Amino acid sequence: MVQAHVQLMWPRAALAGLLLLLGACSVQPVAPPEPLPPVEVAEDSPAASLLALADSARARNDFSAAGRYLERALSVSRSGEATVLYRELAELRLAENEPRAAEGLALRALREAPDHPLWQADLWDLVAEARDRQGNDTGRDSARDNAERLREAP
Amino acid sequence: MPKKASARFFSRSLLLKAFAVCLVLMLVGLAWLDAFVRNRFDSHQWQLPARVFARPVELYNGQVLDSSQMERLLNLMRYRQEAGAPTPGSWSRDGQSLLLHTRGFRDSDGGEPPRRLRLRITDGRVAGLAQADGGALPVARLEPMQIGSIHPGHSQDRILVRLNETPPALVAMLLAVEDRAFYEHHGISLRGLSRAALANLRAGGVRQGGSTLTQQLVKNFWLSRDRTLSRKLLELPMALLLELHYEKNQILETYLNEVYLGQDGARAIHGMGLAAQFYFGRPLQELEPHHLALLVGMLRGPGLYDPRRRPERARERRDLVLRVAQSEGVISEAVLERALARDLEVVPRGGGALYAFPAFIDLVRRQLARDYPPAVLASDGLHIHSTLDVLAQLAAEDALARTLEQRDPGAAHQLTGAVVMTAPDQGDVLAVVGDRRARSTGFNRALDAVRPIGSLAKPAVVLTALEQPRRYHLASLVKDEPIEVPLTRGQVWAPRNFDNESMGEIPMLDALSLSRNQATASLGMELGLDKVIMTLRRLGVQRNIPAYPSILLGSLELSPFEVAVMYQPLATGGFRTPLRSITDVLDLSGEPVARYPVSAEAVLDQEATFLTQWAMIQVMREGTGRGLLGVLPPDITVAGKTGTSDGYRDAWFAGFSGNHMAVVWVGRDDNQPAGVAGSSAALPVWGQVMASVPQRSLRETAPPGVEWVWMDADGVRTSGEGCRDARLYPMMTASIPQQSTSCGERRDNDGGVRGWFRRMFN
Repeated sequence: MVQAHVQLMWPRAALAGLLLLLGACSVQPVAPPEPLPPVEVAEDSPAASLLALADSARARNDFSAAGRYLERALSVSRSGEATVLYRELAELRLAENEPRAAEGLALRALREAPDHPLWQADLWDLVAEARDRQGNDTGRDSARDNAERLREAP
Repeated sequence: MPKKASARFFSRSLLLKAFAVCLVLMLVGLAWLDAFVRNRFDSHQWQLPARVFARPVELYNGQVLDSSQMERLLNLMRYRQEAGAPTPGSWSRDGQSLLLHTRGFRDSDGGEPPRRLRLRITDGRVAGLAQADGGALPVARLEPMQIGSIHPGHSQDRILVRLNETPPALVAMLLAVEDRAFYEHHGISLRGLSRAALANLRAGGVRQGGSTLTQQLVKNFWLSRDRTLSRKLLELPMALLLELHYEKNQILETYLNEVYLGQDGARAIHGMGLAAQFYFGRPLQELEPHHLALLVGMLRGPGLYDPRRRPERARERRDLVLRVAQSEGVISEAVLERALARDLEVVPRGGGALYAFPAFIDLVRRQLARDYPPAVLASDGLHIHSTLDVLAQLAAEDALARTLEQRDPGAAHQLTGAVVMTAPDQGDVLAVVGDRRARSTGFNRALDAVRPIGSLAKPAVVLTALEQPRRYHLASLVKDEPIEVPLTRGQVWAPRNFDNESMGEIPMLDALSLSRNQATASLGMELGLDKVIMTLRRLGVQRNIPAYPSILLGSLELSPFEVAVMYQPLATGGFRTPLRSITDVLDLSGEPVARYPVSAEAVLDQEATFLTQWAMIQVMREGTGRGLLGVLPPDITVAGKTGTSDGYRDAWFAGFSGNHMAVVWVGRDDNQPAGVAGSSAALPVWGQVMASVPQRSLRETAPPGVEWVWMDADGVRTSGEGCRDARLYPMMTASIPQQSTSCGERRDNDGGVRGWFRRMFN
């Protein structure tokens, strides 16, 4: 059955390949793939102002206030913004030397992440760092592998 | 020496000696009193119970909030309607907008200053938020409402108010009525004493004290309330000593916070700050002259002039104070006239938010008891910032009461229930209802009614199966057929379906969405009880789970709160986020003492959890939860599960959207058959509760490692869109069968190479 399936696929793949080839030979240059939009909190989102306040609180080492701002941002966030806020929370916990908590929050950010390889790769790097700080070498390496794989993805 | 002279000498010498001894004793006594007064006054610490606050209401553009909710909130918070909202705690309408003057508060992020803001609500949403002067304001918060105080071990309650925060009119009225010469005397007023002595002589007993404020403070602080001569003899030197060592304003501030102003059951109301809240539901700073006059008037006898029990007498006394205040120049003639025309304006006892949510406070109390010794809670004046969402709480109370009233009307009702609502992202407990009469302080069913959870256990069985992707997927066929499991002592477990029918082989998805008992039982037995128990443990069940087959169908007994804990990882895509009822603890001066931060721990396989979640979405679309259609907006995706225990004793519904989860239980306290089923008794409550708060859809985007696959009804072959009996399932890559019906394309969308080509051509 696997073979049958593959056979079914080939003619269309060949056709696509041919079209690609023709496309490449044509005078019109092939447009490069558009970069994915950045993963961020919209400027007009209520979470944005709280995120900015969290940044300044963190800059003055007021982790308690920064955490409160981020949690508030999470409660007023729009769809798709949670991944950014969980990542910020994870980074905050890491700065507070709470790598275990940071790992959980970074994984949570990954669960909420859009289909954006570079964003996900960054999050895996964060997981790797949190695991490294806990002395979990195997976990760290596996997270780094994930990050690399995502960066190499077409 | 002659006898007489000698006797005289001895008597004089004795007298002198006695006098000397008395003098020494007096001096020693005075020195002791002095040390006592100073020591006790210096070391005096107010007994300030921990105060619990609801979460502050956030206001922002796009927030789901209708005008009636907003007005209800402002009423609860005792905002008064006043043109232009000039002072904190006031609001007014201004065309299509509301003008609000917030009160401000401290928080671990610094809090909010009091500010005037303009809020526009259109079509159930905040359509505009700005500072009243036009400045930008992306987010603002209303101050958190106090919802309780924790005072274990003693029953004094007070809200500390500094003298510079006290309305000057209150101080002026107090001095005018109680102690006009306060700033002139040294602790006692001879004029006052002689006036009182004359009055007592006329009355033939002790009727008047003639006490200064200092004497009253000494009496309240250290002496009994009896009007005896011996008490008076101690009171006078103590008052003098107090004045000798302390500033007038220090004494006055202490007096204002110490005075006894009434009783609320076992709780003694001390100080003007708490009295303002207790009688008028507002901060002291917001009271008007007629309110202040009542408080001053009540000092003479809080029971005698209790405005709730003896309104006429209280009003007479208030008016007397107002007249004295006017005659002493504290208020003008015009203010007097306006104040006399006002009613007492006392709020009904228990009518505000304070002590209105006993089931939630119970939860806070339990969390605090784990982390703080009782003495700290009783006296350190901690500010506990809780997670209670007042609007969600009120909606949950209304929904439960309304639904149960329809099913079980009348006074002698037997049906009762409980609701727990959370925000799974943060693990915040937003609402806890422990009784259909929500103000009842009795048995807290949300935390303590431990009941069989029925079919709420089924997602755990399905999840256990899906975590073995090479063996199971949602299209796998399971047998919905009679099953017999031998137990010990010759007994046999033979579960039946609720409709007493068997459907034969059905996809695992249908076993869950249609809540089939026999199919779940045979799947669970195939998986092994130990594996299901391990899943329940990972979901957060901490109770002992007996290894009986009946646990597969929910013979396991949990409280509604424990069910909320168990469903939390399902709602968050596989993360355990501990439920919290407290976010921050601040000290008396508003400095952060402790934080309870959001945390997340991955406890479930992400892909398997997504599939389970998706199956629970189908429960709502085409299974036992479909009765909810039309209650929530159609574009909001929610997931859930019904549960009904044997004999229709317990009805459950547990479910979640993208940002809220609620668990509802309905049953009887005596555990008798209640004729209730999850879909008919608990689901309607759940729907109303969820419809009352802003909802975000549950994400249906598959995580990496999950693809959408058309499956044939045989559950072992892939199929294609439009093919006979084909259904689309999310499926873990490892589960996708190799066999195909050779009809259509098996994958629905962008999985794999073919998806890449399809995207290219599109």
